[in-house]
Amino acid sequence: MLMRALKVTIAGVVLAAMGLPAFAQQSKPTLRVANYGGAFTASQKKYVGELFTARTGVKIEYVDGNSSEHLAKLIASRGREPPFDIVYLDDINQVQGIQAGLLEKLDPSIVTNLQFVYPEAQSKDGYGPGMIFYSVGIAYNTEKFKQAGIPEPKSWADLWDPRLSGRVVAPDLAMAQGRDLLMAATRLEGGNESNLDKGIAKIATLKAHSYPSSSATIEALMKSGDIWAAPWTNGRAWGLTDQGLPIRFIIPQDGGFGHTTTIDLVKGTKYPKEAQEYINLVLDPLPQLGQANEIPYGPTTKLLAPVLAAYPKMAQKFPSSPSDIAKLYIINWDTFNKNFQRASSLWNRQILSK
Amino acid sequence: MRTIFYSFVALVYTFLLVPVVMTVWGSVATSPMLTFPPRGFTLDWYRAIPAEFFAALTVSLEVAIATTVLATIVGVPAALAIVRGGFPGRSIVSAFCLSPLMVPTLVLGVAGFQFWTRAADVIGYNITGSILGVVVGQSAFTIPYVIRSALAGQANLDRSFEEAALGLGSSPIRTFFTVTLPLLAPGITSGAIFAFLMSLDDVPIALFMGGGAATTLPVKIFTSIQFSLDPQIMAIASLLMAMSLVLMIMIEAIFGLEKFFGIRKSSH
Repeated sequence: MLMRALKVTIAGVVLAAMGLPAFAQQSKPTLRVANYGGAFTASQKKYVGELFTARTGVKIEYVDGNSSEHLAKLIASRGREPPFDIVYLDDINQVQGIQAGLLEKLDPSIVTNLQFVYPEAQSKDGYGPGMIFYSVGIAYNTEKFKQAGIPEPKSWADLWDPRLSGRVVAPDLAMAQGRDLLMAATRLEGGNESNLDKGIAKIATLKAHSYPSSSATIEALMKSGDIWAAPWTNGRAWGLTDQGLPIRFIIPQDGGFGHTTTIDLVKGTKYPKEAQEYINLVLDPLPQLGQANEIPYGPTTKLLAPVLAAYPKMAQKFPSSPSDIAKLYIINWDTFNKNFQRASSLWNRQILSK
Repeated sequence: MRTIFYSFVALVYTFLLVPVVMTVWGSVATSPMLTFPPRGFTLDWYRAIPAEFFAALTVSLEVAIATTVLATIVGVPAALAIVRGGFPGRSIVSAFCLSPLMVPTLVLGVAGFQFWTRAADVIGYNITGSILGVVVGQSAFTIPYVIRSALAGQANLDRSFEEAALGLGSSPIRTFFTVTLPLLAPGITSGAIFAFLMSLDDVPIALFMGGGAATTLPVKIFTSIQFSLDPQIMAIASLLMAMSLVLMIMIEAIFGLEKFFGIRKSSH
């Protein structure tokens, strides 16, 4: 009798021990967050992920990869359990993700910080907002320009200066700055998103050094002095300026380009509430400021504008005020994407095959 | 003639080794960015390697060991069956088993991801995004490696040894473990080593089948350098190369590389 009672007790204890962690796991889910990897994920982990876990007990697991790889995974798992709950995407990929029905709209009663986000970073249809702003303008080597007697660039048209022949790059259309250069060239020729052919023809006349497809390549070419100017992102260019290189970043008078990296709720996630709470924290002023301090991308929350105005040394590196943001040209991705296929094939035929 | 030959060989080796040397050199240079030639000497970058890289290295080693074991367990019997099994359509089976080697690994990665996401409907568990997922995904190309080298090993196998063992009263199982397997060992081990190194090197499959806690070191390095090329990455890459080198030196010291990879100057 005693033995039996003992056995039952032991069985009970063992079952409880086995059951408890399982139960604990169920009540505290692990959120999987698709992010870019490298320094960007590191700063999001530092200012958002760890803070979120400390506050809620919900664990965060980052999935590294670039924006199109994440989109490919979402497409491949469509209609099934998605491979992650939250995804950081390039603005152009977000539009594709929305059209393919892979993303979920946000609930403003959970993502309460949404109301403080600049209208330029808001999604018209209630999907995820931009969580950072960055601009694409012209980065140039001040020393080389001085030696060659070239005045500092003011317009996108200055990239076509014959003295820069073989000293500028036209980034591949797979890159944001490549698409921006196409848009800038199109606008120089009086076109818009619905007629990119003019831009392709214009870029075909640029005496480009090469057509790089990664920022790392452009960075290497800028550092070595092989190229003197490039359409580039503010963050990358300032990275080199801060290292003491003679690199300057300017927003051309005819318009720099405004971009966001968006943060979205993935359709089919098991944890929509926790995931949206994470997104809300990404938009919170402290993580936004931490991110901007770590990597020079502009916060998308309006709440930080007065703080940034007090720190011009930091704020000059990225779009930081409502007027900075208003000056940037934001491409209409819906129209652009419709004509992009044609532009890509023209690019291959008229530019790469030269 | 001879000098031309040697200088050509020297040139080829220089071409192959310069990137390796530059990586190691860059990892100990004092400058926080890549410069040529790298200047100064410091081990700070090694101390600054983020902890996630070591976690990813652990994942990589777990995956490599598991996928090598899986590939060997599946690949060796498959190779034996292809050579000895008197079933029709053996050449078709053989071609099928080797076919994944002809498919780009990126395609294997996406296809594997899609397949296992859908297979979850049937098996009730989605293996993608886990270490198991990476192991299964990589077995698509590691199994063919083991099959191929085990097949090559079989070609030189003298079956009279087995017949002698059987004739002297040894059971088929005992014959297999004490005669056949030791004779096949060079082919199997070289296939296994290749599988191990290929797994340690893989990005596309691990990128799609892994992620999160199942992020391997090459994926971590690949995604990091897309963002920025830091000396810490040079440092971790140098450590990885040092590991491969130590592995090779150990094999050379214990077995001799040529024997290990089944390169015998005169057989039998």
